[in-house]
Amino acid sequence: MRLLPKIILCLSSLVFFSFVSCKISRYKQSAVKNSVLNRSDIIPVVNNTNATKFQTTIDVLKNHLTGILIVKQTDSASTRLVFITELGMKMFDLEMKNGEMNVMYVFEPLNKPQVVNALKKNFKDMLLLDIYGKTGISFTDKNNNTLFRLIKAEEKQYFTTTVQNNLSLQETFQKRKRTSKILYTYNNELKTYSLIKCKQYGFVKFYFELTQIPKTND
Amino acid sequence: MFKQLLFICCLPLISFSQNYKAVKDTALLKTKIENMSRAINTMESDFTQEKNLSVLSEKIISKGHFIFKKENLLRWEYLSPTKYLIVINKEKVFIKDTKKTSKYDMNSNKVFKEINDIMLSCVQGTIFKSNKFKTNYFENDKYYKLELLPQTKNMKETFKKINLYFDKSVTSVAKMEMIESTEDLTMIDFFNKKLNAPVAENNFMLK
Repeated sequence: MRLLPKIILCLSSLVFFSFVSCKISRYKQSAVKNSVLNRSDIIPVVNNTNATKFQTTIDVLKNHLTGILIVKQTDSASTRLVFITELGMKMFDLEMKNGEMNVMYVFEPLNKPQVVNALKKNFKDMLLLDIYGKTGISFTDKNNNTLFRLIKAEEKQYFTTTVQNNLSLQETFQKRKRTSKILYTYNNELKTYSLIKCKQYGFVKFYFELTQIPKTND
Repeated sequence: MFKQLLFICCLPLISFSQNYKAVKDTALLKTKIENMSRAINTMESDFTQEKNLSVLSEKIISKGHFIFKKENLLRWEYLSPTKYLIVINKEKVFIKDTKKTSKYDMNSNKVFKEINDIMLSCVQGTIFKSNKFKTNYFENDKYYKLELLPQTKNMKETFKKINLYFDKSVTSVAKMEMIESTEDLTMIDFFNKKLNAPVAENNFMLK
């Protein structure tokens, strides 16, 4: 009778382990080749000449923040990300320079290490600011989609592309545990990513949604 | 050469700012603004908001409509490039974006109390009475300009100054400028104004 809780615990751990590991197991590779990721492999999110604007929502715990994100490449090595609310208040200003995401400004109530780190990491990933020129592997899945894998420190990033070379899914794993999932919707007519949805898993969950604002004559 | 070009580019700005001189009779101007505020029971207007981001040399232009009704009723609605609505109904604040509608109690949220005070007093022009700002008064041929300098720590962290413009007949606020501590500028121009026209209460209700 005393053994029962232990058995249940062992069984539940086994179930949990198989559940977690099956997520990464879908990326089992057979024929792989080394490849340097470039802009022709995965269509970039950020235009390198003009600013890109997204209607953005950020949800963390019970907080819901909305506004406009402006992303602009300021020179060959730097990209600036500024988030303002609809009322025009600047919430944060980040700069991606030489592979490093730096904080230029954060509105004081948001200036918490966990929030700032989540903003830096997720926007870098969502906007594909640190993948080009990196060496990884490429392979195809059973649906004949081309996938890329990059390894950064303890993380494995998987990118699933379509036949038109636009990204449809990006997932990040630490060890065997998924830490984030990003879904991309590509508009073939406008040749841009019209919608990006990102979930960050973990103790504090974040959800980001970026809807591209079409260019107007304003 | 660069300095010369910079000077030429800045010339219109320099001459624009030089056009403003200090108002001699500030007591008279304050009375005019207070009379204006007393006379306005309802106000409705379209607006254009232009946000200038200094670091990116980029402008974000938003368009919308607002309705105000005495005492504490305000509907501030953005129609482009994104839809966003703020309704202040006495002690309640409703915010509706494309994803959800949120309701806040003003008394339990200091931030909303602050936003409410600023928005309503800017629309009515009575912000100069607030002890959170030190006010300087200027005028040119076309406008009176109230330069509001934040005095509290929180305000100073957010704004460098707020400029409020009134037409010379002081009938309503003509435009507004908010200069953030990071030098970013937000300008709001009001047009198609209707003063004291009937306004339905349901403009300030949100389900």
